[in-house]
Amino acid sequence: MLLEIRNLQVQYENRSKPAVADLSLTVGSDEFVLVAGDSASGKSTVMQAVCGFIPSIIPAKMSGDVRFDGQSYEDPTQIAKIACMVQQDPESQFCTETVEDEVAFGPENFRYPPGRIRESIDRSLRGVGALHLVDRRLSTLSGGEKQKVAIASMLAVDPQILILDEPTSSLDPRSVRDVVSAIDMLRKDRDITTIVIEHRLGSFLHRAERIVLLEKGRLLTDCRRGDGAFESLATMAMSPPEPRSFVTSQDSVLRIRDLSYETGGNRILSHVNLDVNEGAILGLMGENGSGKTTLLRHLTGLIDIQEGKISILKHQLNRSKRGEPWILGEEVGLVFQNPNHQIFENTVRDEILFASLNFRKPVEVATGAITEFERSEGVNRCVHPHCLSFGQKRRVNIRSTSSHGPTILLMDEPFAGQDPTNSAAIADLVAGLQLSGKTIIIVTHDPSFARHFCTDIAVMSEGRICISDRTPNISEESWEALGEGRLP
Amino acid sequence: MTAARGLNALTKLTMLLAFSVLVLLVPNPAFMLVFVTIVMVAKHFFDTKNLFTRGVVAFGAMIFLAQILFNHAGDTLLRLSFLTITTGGIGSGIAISGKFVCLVVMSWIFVATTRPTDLSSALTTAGMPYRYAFLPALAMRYVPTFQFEFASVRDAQTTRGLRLERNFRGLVSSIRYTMIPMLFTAMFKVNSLASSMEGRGFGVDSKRTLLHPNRMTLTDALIAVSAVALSAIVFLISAQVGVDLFSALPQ
Repeated sequence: MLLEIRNLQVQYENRSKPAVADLSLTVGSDEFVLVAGDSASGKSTVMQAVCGFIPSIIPAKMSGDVRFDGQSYEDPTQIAKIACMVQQDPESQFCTETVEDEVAFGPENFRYPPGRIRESIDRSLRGVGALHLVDRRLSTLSGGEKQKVAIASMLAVDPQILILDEPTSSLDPRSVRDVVSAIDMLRKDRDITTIVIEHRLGSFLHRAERIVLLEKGRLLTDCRRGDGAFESLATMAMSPPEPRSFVTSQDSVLRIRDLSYETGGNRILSHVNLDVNEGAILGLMGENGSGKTTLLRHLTGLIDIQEGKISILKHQLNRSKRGEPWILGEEVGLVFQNPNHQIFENTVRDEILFASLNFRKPVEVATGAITEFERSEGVNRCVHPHCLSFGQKRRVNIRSTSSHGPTILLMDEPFAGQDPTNSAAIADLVAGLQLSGKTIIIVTHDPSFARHFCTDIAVMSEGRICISDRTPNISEESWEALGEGRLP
Repeated sequence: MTAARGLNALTKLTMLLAFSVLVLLVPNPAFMLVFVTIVMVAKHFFDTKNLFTRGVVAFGAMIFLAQILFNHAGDTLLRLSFLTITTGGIGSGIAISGKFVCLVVMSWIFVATTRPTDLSSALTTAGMPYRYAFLPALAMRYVPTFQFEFASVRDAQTTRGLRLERNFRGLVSSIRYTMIPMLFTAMFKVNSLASSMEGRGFGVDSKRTLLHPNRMTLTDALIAVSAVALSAIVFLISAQVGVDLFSALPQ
């Protein structure tokens, strides 16, 4: 067996329960394994232990045995030529500025001569269909391109096992398709064992030969294609979420006319027109870089209007009449993409009260939100928000942004990196906010969620709104195209 | 810009250090005015947006004003009911604000014209152990990332109604509400980056090869030596002239 894990147990410092408990698993050469499970089920922890990051970089108590072809190693640098792991956020693992330097990094460490480094760069980038990016700066790449470069940078030292930790979690459907086909191309090019950690099995399901399902650090299911368990997991993964219906009003709360914006010589928004009615849940879709976040930032006054006008609630904004964020913020809440960027207080209680106190609003709603959080999450209000799980942090963000009573709530990719259970919890939270009278705009890359949950859909491409309609009016062909990352 | 980029990173670092030491050691305000002019002209070639310069110049102007208002050394040039302007106030205002502007802008020019990997490569080629040589490159690589995250944190504060007062209390609140999220984000990144680097063999050997070894050419060495020599000569001249504001100016 290429990889053998025996009785692996990992317990992080200051945690009462182990993150991985008595896990044994073997993976053969050239296998394609999907490792699934909810957040905190131990998926990433197992793979970090396999690569030697635990305990040498990430402190934790570890016992058990990890062997490659019968040999065990302790130092991650020794494992690097056998197994490599592409982490969830490619951006945070880049240590240089350009694609070429990044892919050369591994071969340079292993003292390849310059000629061989050049060959490795070409082969690795070609392997994932990214050779054309070789001269680019990393900061200019799209999300999908960054992911491909991150994979190539790991492949450059010819490892036998490639581990991908949620490679598509924050990508738009087109980038997901690109990354999936890059992995297909790679597996045709070389014999490499591939282990993909995913919350959502859909993207890789047709490639995987085996699914390993973890729950609370333990192995729940290990099934191969053709097994009953594999088929039922596949069916479950592909089934759409439960449809919801919401009542909306005919009164408009947001009207955008001819909104255009450019920065650094690039047109980010181009003549955007959009209407949103009171009580709507608008799914704002479009590929990465299409202008969705810039649009949301205009609605909160974080970006001054250059051209066009916005009528939001009682505010009329245009080039000469700018919206001040600390005034608009009272009525328009914005949940940012990264949960860690919007946690400022030392307890969940203070965090949820933060905006109410700043805006000098009554704290009853916020107090109710704190109690509700304690009840639904089983977490004490005095816990530090940074000690919560990723999903819980996100739900604290939503509560802390909505509990001072804004009428409109903007959410920038709230489902990114969330497992199905956490996504469902966020969806419930959003539904509750809509029922309490809020209008919600959600940036999402998930057409299935948008179709079954949102009352209205707007699709952006290259700074323009190319579709804007009530959800039932969107045709089947359009949904199919959106699912494939194409424009209808 | 291209010529500056073409220079060896170590040459640029030597120039930066030599000129920085010169700027710090020269006390004469007239010399400082010349340095500021040269640095700002150089900056003009490297950055046309000037957004960054505005902030630096504004802060430099504040230092200058503070010196004029509160430093009453030297001869009195003007006395109003509450305002006394002296040669010492103007002199030290120019000298201190000039040092600040020169150091920041020169450092900026260095960062703008030097790729982080070129710097680490040059330092490694010069014999520094690569683990240490890589540190400044990593720091430079993360400057834009942290700038972006800082802006994101501040935006999140603003939209949730946090308005910081422009006083000491505001400064403490700013540190509390901004630095803590930044610190947590940085801690997550450290693990991720360390795993990514060691997971690609960083540290496996005491040496590493370089795809683009950045060796000093004869021209690079001559420029570096010239920069050090020029700094020394200018310093010696300034030492002859002394600190008097007007002694170096044409009579």
